[in-house]
Amino acid sequence: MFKKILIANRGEIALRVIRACREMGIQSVAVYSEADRESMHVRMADEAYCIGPAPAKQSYLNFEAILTAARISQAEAIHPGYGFLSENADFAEVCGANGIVFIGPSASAIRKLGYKSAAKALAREASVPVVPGTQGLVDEHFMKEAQAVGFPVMVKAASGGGGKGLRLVRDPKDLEAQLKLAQSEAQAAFGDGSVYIEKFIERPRHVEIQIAADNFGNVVAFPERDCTVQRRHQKLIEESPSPKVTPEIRAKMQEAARKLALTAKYSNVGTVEFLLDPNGNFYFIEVNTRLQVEHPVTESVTGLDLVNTQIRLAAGEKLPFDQARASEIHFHSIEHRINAEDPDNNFAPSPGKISEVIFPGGCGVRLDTHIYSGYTVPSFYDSLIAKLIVFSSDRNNAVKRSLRALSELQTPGVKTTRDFHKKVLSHQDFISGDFDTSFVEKYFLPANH
Amino acid sequence: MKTEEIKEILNWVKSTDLTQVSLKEKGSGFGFSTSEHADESFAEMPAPRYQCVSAPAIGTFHWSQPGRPQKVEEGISLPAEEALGYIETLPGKTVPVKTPSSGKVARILVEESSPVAYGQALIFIEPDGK
Repeated sequence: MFKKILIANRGEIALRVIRACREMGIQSVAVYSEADRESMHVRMADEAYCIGPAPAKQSYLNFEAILTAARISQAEAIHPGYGFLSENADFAEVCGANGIVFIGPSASAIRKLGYKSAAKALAREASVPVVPGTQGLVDEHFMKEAQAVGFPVMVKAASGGGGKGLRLVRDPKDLEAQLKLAQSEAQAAFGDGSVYIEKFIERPRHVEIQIAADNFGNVVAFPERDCTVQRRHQKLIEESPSPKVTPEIRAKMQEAARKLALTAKYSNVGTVEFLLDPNGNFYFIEVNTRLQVEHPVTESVTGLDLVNTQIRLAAGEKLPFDQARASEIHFHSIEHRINAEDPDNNFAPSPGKISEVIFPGGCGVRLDTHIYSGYTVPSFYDSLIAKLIVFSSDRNNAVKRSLRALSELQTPGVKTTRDFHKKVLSHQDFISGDFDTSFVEKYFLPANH
Repeated sequence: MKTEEIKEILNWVKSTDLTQVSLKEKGSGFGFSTSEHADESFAEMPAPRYQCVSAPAIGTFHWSQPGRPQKVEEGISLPAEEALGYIETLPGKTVPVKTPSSGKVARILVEESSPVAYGQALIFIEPDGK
């Protein structure tokens, strides 16, 4: 096992890794930017080094500074957390070249799964269902191809992004006109008018499967996390198990995720994301080749420690539990991402000094946070200030516990999404579990819908 | 004042918003600035006496490479942009440490081959004409 690990991250996730290290008897090394001098991870780690100025590019994304910190502290491994360098195949490779273990999958696995088109091809190879669509770009046989996919369809720009060149077509008679519009829009936006057609998934939920794999060909898949409550593709609430996933669907999703991991020769932890339609069909979207923000949900449901597991796997150990153990569901768990943002002002960041902090507590409450009374939330990084995770015997009780714990959390000085979470939790569709990825936009952001 | 005490004060200053500090104890003392641009509210005050040369990168500090000028000692005068030493980051990679202005070396806080963090105070210079 490693004697010393450097954590190339900040905020709550840096603390999460430091805590795992301490329990495992491993020394921890924090790195920080000038803006994070007063940060809790700097105080909590066994050693800490300032690596650069506030902008992430010069600090938390700076390969040379991070690897130098590892060299002078004699750390044997680097935990990248999430975000920053966690899915950077080049960084994983450079770590290896400098004799340092990157705690995550291999650079080649990150490359294979990190790019959407390559990952989708790999999913097809592993017989994992993907969103049906044209294999390549659209030609003169577009109507035949669209009918094979099945209406409604989405016309998407090959070089797309940001909603440009995107057209929903429900009626075959509109296809030709919409296709031409999408092509000219894509040409104007990206200088490339090529488009492809994909099946439009109605009322989808975002459901993902956590996996863990060792270097000996063992892969386990955990119970799903439902991350359907999103705002502009940013997850706000994650829960497990999903209110709409049956044991049969769960087993199929876990099997699909395991097959994909085996096909990609994946090692360490990762997450396979799917869209789930109201009929129980699911479609692969992408793989996150790292620890997820919402990993505590799975930890609360199963009672297993994913960061501890991650470190063991990176050190070359075998998976410490089997599929049967990984599948156990002991609780219902919900996670709330508390961001320093102003929900009344289009979720604009709200950095500043938190004059006093009151943390929630009690039975079934976990708070992963780096904030403290007097802490100043810097404006340079993402606005996540805390993750409130609750767990209880069932969903109904977990929701009640969330509402109770959210009310206890006080962070005067900065605006947060706390009350927004309470509103979402009190909505009848959330309570019934009957909602899809448009839920937040539909009921809480009417101006944007 | 002892070097260790100065280091401690510097670390404290870095945890605040202060850019300039003057300190007097038993008749002697020092002043320094962490910013090149003095705050306007300081316009009436005498300019800080010492300038801090801080580490431009994390790494291992070394005095000037072979062939460079004399070993830096307290009391010697140096021109501006003089390469005092360098910081070794990764094998074969270095970042130079240069004097920000011409002046006299007032205090050396760093030792040969010691690890330094980004922004760590290495040397104090008393700029010429101050």
